[in-house]
Amino acid sequence: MHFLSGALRAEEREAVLGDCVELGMSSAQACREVAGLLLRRQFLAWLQWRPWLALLGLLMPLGFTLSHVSRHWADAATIHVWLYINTWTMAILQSSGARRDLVGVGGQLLFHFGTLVFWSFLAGLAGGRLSRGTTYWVGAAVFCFVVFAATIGTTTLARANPLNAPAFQDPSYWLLLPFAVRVGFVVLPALEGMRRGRRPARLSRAGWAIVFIAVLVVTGLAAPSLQRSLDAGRLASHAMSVHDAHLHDRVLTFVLGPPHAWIRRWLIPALMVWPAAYLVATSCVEQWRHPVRRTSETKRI
Amino acid sequence: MLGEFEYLLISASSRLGDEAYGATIRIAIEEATGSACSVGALYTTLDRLEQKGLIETSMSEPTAQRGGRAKRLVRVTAKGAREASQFYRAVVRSSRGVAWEALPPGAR
Repeated sequence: MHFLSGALRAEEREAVLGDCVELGMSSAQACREVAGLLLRRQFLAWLQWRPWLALLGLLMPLGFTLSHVSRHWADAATIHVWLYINTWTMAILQSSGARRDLVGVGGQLLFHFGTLVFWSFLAGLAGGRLSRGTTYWVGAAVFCFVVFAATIGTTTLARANPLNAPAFQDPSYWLLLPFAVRVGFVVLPALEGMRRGRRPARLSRAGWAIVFIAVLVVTGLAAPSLQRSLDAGRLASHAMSVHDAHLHDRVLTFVLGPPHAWIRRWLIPALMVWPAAYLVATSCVEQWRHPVRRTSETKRI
Repeated sequence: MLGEFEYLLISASSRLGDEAYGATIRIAIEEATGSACSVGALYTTLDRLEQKGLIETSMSEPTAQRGGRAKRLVRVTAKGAREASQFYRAVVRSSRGVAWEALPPGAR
């Protein structure tokens, strides 16, 4: 009962539970009434367009893309991490060329995982802003499901390559690392973004401009790898080459065109940028309609 | 125009006056209709009527009778009274000369 009523707003919870006590309802009856109220609210909320746009236009496509790109980048990290762990010597630090490679690999990993956090947080923020209220939980649950389930039945070129077999034989690399990357750099930032998106927080116009420019730059730099994550990061489980397309990939090709089509090359990066574009646009509209001087009560993101 | 349940809720609130809140409105509607009234239907309709400006709600002080919980008091606005009156007049006009006007109360 307390679990169910926890989904109600504080004042409504007071009123509804008080009514149940005053009417002498049993616990079972009160649970049924509260569950009925929650279901009605969900049904009414889903009659609006906003939750559908958040779910179908943002959370599901972004969850799908982030699922693949996070696995693709986790696999790239696997190969580097396995090599360094299994072949580590102090000579690597003493050689300038090896040091440069190590710094390069570290920088690449930092960029990849930082980009995942950035994209996921903005996606969650936009999703939470769009699906404010009762549909938030459904959107969050669907996003998490898509992130973990989108790659089922597929593999990556890295895993299919027999030369990488020593690295991917260890479950720590082929199972735990991608899972940890998805949880730590995709799901948790997205859920935090969704939580913050429910509140009417504001950033200044300059702040939003910086965020938008940053996401454009980061997405532009990551675009080739983003594209490769869907081309070489989504093969049938038995595939040995990029050309061996799974049924789902034929659908992807039908919807988006072949891997080198312009629409596919531009649509996927645009998908990663659109949450930031939405946040900037809605913030500008809100600030134009209701100009507010910054006070201590205004919450920051 | 108001819906049937919206009219029942507004008329019950108007009749109850200062004692109009969730539990009492529910009892009044169940007595008038002879059917059960769910908390879900009641509270979602209260929200809808408040959004339309037909009622105003406020939270009272907690009471021991309700386990130390507050009531959500309902007050019908002037606009709500006009809409309810319009609905009532429409029902009366459309019911003139209809056979069930002569049915005794409680008859099915």
